[in-house]
Amino acid sequence: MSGREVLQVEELTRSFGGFAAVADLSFHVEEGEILGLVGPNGAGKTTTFNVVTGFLKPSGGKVRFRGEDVTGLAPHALARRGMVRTFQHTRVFSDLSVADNIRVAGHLRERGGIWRSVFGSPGNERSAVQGRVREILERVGLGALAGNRAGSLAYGEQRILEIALALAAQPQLLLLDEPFAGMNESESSAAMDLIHRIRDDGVTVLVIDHHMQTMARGCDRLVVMDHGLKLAEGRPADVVNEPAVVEAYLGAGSDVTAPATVAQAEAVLDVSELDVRYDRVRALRGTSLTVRRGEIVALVGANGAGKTTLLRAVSGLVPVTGGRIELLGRNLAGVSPVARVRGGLAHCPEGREIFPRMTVLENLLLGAADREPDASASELEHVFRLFPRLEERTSQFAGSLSGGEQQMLAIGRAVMSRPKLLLLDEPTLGLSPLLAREVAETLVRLNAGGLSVLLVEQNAVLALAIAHRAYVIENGRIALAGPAAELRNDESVKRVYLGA
Amino acid sequence: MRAASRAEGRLGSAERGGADLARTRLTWVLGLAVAALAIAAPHVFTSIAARHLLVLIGINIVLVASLDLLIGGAGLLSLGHAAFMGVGAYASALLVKAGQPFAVGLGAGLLAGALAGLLVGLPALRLKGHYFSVVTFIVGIIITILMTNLVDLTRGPMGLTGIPFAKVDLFGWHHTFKTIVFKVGYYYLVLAFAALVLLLRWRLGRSRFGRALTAVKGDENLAESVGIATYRVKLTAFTVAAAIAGLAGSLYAHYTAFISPDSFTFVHSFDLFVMNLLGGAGTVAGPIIGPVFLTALSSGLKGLSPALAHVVHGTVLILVIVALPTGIAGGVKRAAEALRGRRR
Amino acid sequence: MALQLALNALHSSSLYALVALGLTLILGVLDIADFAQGAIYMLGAYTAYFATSLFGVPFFLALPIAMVIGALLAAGNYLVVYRPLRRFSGATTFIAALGLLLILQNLALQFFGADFRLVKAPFANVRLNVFGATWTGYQMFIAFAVTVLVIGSWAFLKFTPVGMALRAVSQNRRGALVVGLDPFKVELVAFLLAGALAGAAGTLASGVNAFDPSIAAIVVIKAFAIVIFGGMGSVPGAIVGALIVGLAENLTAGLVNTQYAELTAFVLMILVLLVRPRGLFGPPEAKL
Repeated sequence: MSGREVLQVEELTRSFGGFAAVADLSFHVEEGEILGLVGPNGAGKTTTFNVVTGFLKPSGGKVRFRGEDVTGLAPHALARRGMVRTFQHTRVFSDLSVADNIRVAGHLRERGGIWRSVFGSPGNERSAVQGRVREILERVGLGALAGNRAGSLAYGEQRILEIALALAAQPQLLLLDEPFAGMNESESSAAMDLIHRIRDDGVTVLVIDHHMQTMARGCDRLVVMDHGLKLAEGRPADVVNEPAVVEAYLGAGSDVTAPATVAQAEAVLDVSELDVRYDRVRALRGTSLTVRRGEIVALVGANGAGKTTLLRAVSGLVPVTGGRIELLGRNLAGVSPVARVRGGLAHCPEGREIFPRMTVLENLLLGAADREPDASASELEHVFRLFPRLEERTSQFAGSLSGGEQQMLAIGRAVMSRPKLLLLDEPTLGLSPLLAREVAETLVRLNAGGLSVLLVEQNAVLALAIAHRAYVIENGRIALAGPAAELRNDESVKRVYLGA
Repeated sequence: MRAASRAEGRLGSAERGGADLARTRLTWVLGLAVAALAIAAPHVFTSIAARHLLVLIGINIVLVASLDLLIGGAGLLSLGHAAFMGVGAYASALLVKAGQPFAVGLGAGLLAGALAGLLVGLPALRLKGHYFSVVTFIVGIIITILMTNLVDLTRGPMGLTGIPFAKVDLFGWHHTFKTIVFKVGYYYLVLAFAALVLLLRWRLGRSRFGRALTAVKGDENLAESVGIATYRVKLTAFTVAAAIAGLAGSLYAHYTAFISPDSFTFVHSFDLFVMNLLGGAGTVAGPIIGPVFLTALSSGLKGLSPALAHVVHGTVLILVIVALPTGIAGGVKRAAEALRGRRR
Repeated sequence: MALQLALNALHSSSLYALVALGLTLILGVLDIADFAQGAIYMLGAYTAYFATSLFGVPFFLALPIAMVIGALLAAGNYLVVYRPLRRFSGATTFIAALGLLLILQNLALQFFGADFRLVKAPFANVRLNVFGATWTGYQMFIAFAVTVLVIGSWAFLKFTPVGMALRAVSQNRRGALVVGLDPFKVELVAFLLAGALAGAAGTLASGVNAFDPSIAAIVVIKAFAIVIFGGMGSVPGAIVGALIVGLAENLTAGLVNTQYAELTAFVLMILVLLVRPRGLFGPPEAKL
């Protein structure tokens, strides 16, 4: 490594409303290295990426590329200077052939504006361009698929094509946004090999992902983020064992009150052999899981493992391609999301999904839209007992609440319909440890009142502390199941998150 | 399994090579046939009414081919195209009435269209999706209001009468196109421009600029990230399309010898849009099929009142959107691919 | 003079406000630019004309009739055209909306003719002198009726469960789904309400402005310019936008030139697009 700094990020800050997604972040990328930016979901990695590559304006701080201040330049201007990125969700020009994708992305390599387009002679350049296209495709191993429509490629191949697109723009610094998301182990290690080959060809690489396993193995250095702040920086082997990093990934809070044990009861939710596909990705493959009455069941697993998809399938927000879901003994096939809510299901989704320009009271009342007015009055009392802070803010717009209060509102709104089963997706995401614990304690209290809960949670330690039983999901399949108390001490849970 | 799919891919591209050659040959044959038909048309349809329709089809081809640069090329659903035609028509008519030669009028139409396109594109292209369509639609109407209100310049709703016929003075050959009765000559003039614009559209589609447009249409963020200045590319396309529409306006003004704001209303913009979608946006044949089909349709509806003709137009439009989202040319292409697929 | 202009502005503003309010509701809930609302306005005016002149129905009765017809027509458009098209992009539905506008406007031209009509307005002879400016009885009636309709709509959106559901869907569709709100019901209500408002606006306008079928396009374009100006999907944006545009229009007419008054709304729209593309009251842009 020459030690020359290609990219310098200095005290970068980006806020949304009052919430700082990235706060005072500084790091640099050295020429010829592969730097990994890692951190749990919601840590601010993608926001950092979007600011660095010009898709978002920073609220403060500077970005320097090869010593030049490039803060706030448009993405295409940065690409021209040699900084090219990929996207979190696969983006290729799906209606074009693979070769044409590369040609389009080779825009910067070709010369001429509209005049040359009309009057220039296409013949001379054509063969040169075709040669370049072939060269790039061979380099990434897609040469045989040049004539195929990009949209028809397998998912893993599309992700590789995406990298090839970026390469066609001839970057000096390549920024990869979650290149391993949705890949299985052999696919992601092949992708990492490709990234190494790209580096060996002289391209500096900055990659973000939460696949700690792959990242730790493949990157030269890691920068770890959590809550918008830099947590650690250094060689992967050192970073992975830092207590702060372990806590960021697995969470803290094992000292919360454990729930009372429950007797074996009938199933509230029974999911069997569930299959869900998004386009070409199989998000769930034959997943089965049960929640019994009075239980808190935790569903843990790495990002992209299929946790959120499972909850969405249960509440009817994504179509199911196979398998069966039963709620209180009733088959949910063909039942609309609205009818599922009436049937006793409440879904408190990731990202909270509150109504920002309505008051706290209105948000709560909408949660009980189908109930009698006097019944919702008693529910309101119940919610305010759980979250006294909401009662102080009834006439405030929900959008003006703090992150923790919004989460409370989302949970409160969900229990307004007096559900039998609560699906809870990442309730502590972005919350401070103190608030996360408060949320957890509230869940235990709700559960003591008879509510069954299916909990998806990044903070595995916390989730396993309050759950009765837990499932570990990996690549859309249940890898492990059992009483939460046993899984708490199981090394394989740590492996799923940290790969250590 | 992976190896099998790769082998299939390679096989696919080899077969595609053969199919490409056959298709190129077919394209040439079809192209020549269409050209021959276009040249023979005024001698097959000899009535004045039919020849009038032929000239209008030619002008509409120029307009739709330029609109297709936006719709088929960049996915920009512009709904104010007739207004740019109007700007070009007025610019040309006024200059030639003031004594300038026809060629200057044509050039002025082109420039005026380009200028108007630039001015409209600057704010409108800041919007995404259908908000862009809505704004082009509204701005198109503003332009017709201006034509009506700038009475000193345009004579308002009365329109401009007595616009001089096109005079060509080329290497000692003089000709005045007295288009009220003699339409064939002017038809060939329009046809030449139509061929030129179609060629231009085709060249642009296969150029670096055209690929940048395709990228914008496919995914604007991705296009930005590989270094395409999307706003500038869109603005260039919008300006070029408006310039060609201005040229078409000039051709129209010196053909009818009379223009008024009524000739360039949103209904005409809308018709052009339908022609583009109906023919097939982003296809080579689309800008020919659409105008021929729809101009013939509206002449077939001449028996009806103009109001009912518009009702039919609106209905056709909605049906096209629902049943044939890729237009006639796109539909034929898909059907052919489906047939080939079955044979394989 | 200024007061007279302001009084005149009030009635044009209030009529724009009704159409803009309906447009912005539909835009918020469904993201459809429903230009067919212009045709509903026009049919509202013809309803008043035929009801009063052919059937001798009193004007005050024609107003609710026009509202019912407008509501039904808008809901019909939704069920027959927009709902089947919902899997397509916003641009497709917009084009379908223009198609509907074209069809309805030309059907009216075919059956009602191109003659300008004016409905004999009630309270035509009542005149009120306000500090030297005249306010006619009918203008007062328009101001009153529109105030009632706007406040009624606001109360409906603010206090009824359906109104709350409507706002919820327009703010966060997924959030609305997970709490069990039925989007179909909400969408239908948005169209019914917008149609009733457009019908009422047409009826009220028929007594002051002579109209022919082409009024459909003219009105909806101006109302949409107001919606963009005020902020797409924003209810206060539609009302405040209409007030500003109406005032600016009448000031231009009074102080500059009547011909350019027509352009005021569009100039304001373009200015706002250049300076603040989300409009006066529009929600901030979503992040990537």
